[in-house]
Amino acid sequence: MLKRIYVDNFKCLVNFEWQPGSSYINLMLGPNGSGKSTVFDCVESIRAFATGEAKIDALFPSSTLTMWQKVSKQRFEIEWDRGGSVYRYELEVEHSEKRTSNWVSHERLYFEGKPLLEFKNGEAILYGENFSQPTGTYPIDTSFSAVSLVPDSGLYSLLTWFKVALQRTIVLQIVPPMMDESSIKVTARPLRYFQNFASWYRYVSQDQGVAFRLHQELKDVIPGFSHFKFDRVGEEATVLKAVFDQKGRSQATVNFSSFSDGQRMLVALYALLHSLGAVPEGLDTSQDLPSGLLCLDEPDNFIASREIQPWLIAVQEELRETRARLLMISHHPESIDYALIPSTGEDFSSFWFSREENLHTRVQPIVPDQDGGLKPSELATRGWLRP
Amino acid sequence: MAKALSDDYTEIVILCEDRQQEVFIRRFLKKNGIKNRRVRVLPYPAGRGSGEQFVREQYQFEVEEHRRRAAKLNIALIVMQDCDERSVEAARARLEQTVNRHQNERIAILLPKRNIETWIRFLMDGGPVDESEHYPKLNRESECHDVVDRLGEKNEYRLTPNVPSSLRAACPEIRRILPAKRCVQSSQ
Repeated sequence: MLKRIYVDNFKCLVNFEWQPGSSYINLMLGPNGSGKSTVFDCVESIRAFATGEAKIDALFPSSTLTMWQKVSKQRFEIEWDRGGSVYRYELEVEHSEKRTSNWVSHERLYFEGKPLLEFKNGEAILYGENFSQPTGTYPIDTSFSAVSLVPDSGLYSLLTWFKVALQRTIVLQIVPPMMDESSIKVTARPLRYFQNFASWYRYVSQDQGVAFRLHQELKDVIPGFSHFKFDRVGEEATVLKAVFDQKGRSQATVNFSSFSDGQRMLVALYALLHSLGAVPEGLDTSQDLPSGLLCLDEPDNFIASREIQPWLIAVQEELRETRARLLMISHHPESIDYALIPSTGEDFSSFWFSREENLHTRVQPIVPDQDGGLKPSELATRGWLRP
Repeated sequence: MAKALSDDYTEIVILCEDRQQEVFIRRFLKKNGIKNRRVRVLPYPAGRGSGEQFVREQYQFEVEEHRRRAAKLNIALIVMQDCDERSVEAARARLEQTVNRHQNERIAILLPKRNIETWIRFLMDGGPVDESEHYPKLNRESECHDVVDRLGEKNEYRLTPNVPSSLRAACPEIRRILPAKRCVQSSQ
């Protein structure tokens, strides 16, 4: 699980450090513009870079530099816990004086403080699992992540584990009207606003267990719902459709686009939940696989308040089962009041993000109010919910 | 897409003190076929010791709300509060000071003594427990799932002679919510 993130000179994150709690759900609270979503931007950019999805110029353009600083370097560090042992990933991005180009000035990955890979000045040094001697030195284009280029093999299983942990990280800000019902090809990676929902669902529903559990869940949430299916349209495209049972009549089929925004959101949330336990294609299930990390930006938007607590309960059960974690930004009273209470033996599960004088973001754990009678959501509404 | 809203409502409201109580009751209900989305837990305060006050303060309000709607909706209220040093009878009387329940109302008052950890310890060990003693909290609340499953899996409780008196007192309370549920005295 994500243990720590450090960011310097990325949008409003300057010398920013955050250590999420050990709870399955970490709630991120704070005013609009306090930097919560920016933390997700950062996690997503690091993930996309270190897994080779995109190059440095696309992910860290000069527009991501902190606007009131003149420093040309951006620094990122993340630490990931693996059963008590810790990975540490460091990335430094340098921008040219005129901000017209950028490159990796260094990228490093450590396990328990020992190097797995060091990439500097266009040269990557790989270390074997015994850490003592480099196994090879390779010239690499500084717009790429060296970590992403290391082949997934038993020779570098420690490094591969870290990459899989990043692959199993999903950052989403679901916008239901943007969820497309049509799909040209199957895709394992959901896009930030879940525009490619149908294509992603085609991928996860290849696991019959995921599809079955989702259908069972949705039967309770959307009355009459029976199951999803894909209908072919033309040569390549398929369209996601929902089949409904009708009393005394044959089943009715409707396009996913006829779902309301709230229903689309519910489908997305439960589908994500049930996909957490699915093992991505090509991974060896006998190995110690990293659990997933789900970062959801205001998932409680669009859905009825009646739906929030049942979903949070389902989240807790699924996370407990899969050992995955959820980082969740929310402004909704239902989520705040329910999720704010830490469980036994867990660290603080809620954090307050703020910016002083519209400058850099700071984050502090929220200590539950021992004496007051106001609900946490009411305290948040009044701006009194402070660390 | 018509949604049968009239059927989609919270059937059971839980008024309790803390996460452990919530997890215990939810699991018990789930094992008895009541789905999570039919259950609503009133968010309780996070501060230590404030749960007791919260339940006491909310009790009258929730009973009155229940009465206002019970004629039209098939609803129930489960209240749980640790007895601490009080007897079950004293704790119940204190709670009902503000409003008494009617005989057939689907309102259950569960009063573990000394607290919910006492019941969990008994269910885990099966041996006698001291209802005046503080038993340690579980590392994670969900660790009670297995024993609660065993408690709730059949349409009866099987209570051993060692059962703590406060758990025995919970049997008729549960039957207010789940009338088919029976308490069976086991010789084990």
